[in-house]
Amino acid sequence: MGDIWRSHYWSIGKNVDLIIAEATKKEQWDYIGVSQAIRAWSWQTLTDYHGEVILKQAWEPNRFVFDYDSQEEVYAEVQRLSNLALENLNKTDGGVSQASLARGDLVYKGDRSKWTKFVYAVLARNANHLSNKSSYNPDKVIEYCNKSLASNDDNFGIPPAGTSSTDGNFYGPTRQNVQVFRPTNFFVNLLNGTVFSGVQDPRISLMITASPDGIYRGVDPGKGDPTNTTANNATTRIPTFWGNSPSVTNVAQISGKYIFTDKANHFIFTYAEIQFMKAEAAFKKGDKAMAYDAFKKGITAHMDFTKVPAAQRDAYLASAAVPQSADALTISDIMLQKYIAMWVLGSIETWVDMRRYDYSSSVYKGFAFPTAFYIDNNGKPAYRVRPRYNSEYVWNLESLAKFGGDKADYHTVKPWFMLP
Amino acid sequence: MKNKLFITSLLAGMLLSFSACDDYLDINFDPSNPQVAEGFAVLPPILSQMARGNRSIPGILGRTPKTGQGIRLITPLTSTGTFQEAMLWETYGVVTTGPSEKTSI
Repeated sequence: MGDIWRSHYWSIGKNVDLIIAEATKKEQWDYIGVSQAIRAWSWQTLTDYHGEVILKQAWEPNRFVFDYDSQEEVYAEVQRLSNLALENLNKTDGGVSQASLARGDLVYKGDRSKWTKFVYAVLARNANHLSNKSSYNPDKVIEYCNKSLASNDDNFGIPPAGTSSTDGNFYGPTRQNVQVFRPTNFFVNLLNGTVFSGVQDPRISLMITASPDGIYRGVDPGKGDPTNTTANNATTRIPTFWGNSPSVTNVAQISGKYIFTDKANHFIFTYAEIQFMKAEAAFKKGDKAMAYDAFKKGITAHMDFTKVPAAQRDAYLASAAVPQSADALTISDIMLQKYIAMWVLGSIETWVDMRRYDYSSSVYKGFAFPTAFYIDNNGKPAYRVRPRYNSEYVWNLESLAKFGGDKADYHTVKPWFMLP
Repeated sequence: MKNKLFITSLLAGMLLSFSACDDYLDINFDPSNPQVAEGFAVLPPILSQMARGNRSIPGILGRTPKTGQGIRLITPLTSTGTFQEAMLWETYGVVTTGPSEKTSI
């Protein structure tokens, strides 16, 4: 739960400054740009997840308590760092060298042009998250998207070695982290035709797995697995994300599928996401033709990402599941297709999206809250995750209390980005 | 600039004149345990941490910690008032208990 906090302040944290300090001596502007890009992305993720965070006093030595800053200030910091990163990635003098950067850059192999696209992806998210504000500028979002990832080849996927449980993909079978997870009914219904005019999505068999009786099933959050009974165990049991029956426990017999294999990359940005951001911004701007074009490119990109055969992909795009004209396109189409493309791999961004639409079931068709919230929620859904317990609530409670971070229902306070 | 050129040429001169010693000197550089935190050595773990920070989130968002952990993050439903696994919004559901099982993660 505190993993993003931990990564941002500690395990990525000062290491960014270490790289910058060493790279400055050697005028390695590319290393500096990459470091700033990562920190910009990290601030963005951190504040989208937690809301108010410690910005100005972060990494300040000799402090025991740390003051929090507003999300608006963190958003500005993301822009500042992104612009610095762009400047540095644009430089070709000094110690800039693709071969040298490639030694450390396991993702883009030292290709500065791809890191530039990464920075624009951060900026696109940063600008698009403000869609509820009067200051929202869809043209900016579109401009950033156009300068960002241009194909699936530009996807930012962090490669695991995938040889053991210490270096395999977190979602892969060897790591055994997702054995108790199942797709929800909400998600299954997006793929099996329930939501989209009875058309079954060709991605369904590539992303999830049918029960032995051939039917795709999901679960409702918090209600457990109703197929987990001895009576019908054989035919209706919901398989794991790896595609095997839950009764198979020998990891050696499980190969996994989709992003749930030992060697699958961990994705931070995909081309599909960029196109869906562009579609949403163009839609809000009123340019339906551009929105429709980007929307279809987004679906196509994710179909290719999941390795759907081209004929099936095109058949789906021509089916009743997809609006057949720019005028027929709705915001719900865009956000639901984005949901499919971002499933698991882009969950933090999906949560940002759902909060921007305040969990609307007219946008997220088929999505419903649980019948009751936890008592501390006071009937409200959650809008943020509390800061990390074992630093903030143990040692920094005084600072948290200044803005209500100590309240029992603090997690239901709406973050700044989603407010008008 | 003059100084820089001077140092560069001096270094180049040193490299040329002591080139026979290069291989010998190189044994003091261990690429697995660099003495200086250079980018090529620090960047890979940072990239790995980018994945680490994000990876466990899909399951955690909307999931309540168990009693005894003392912290409530996103805390959605439970009709009984005890902490239970539950998803408020979801990317995927968490299976904890089947009708005939009472185990939970």
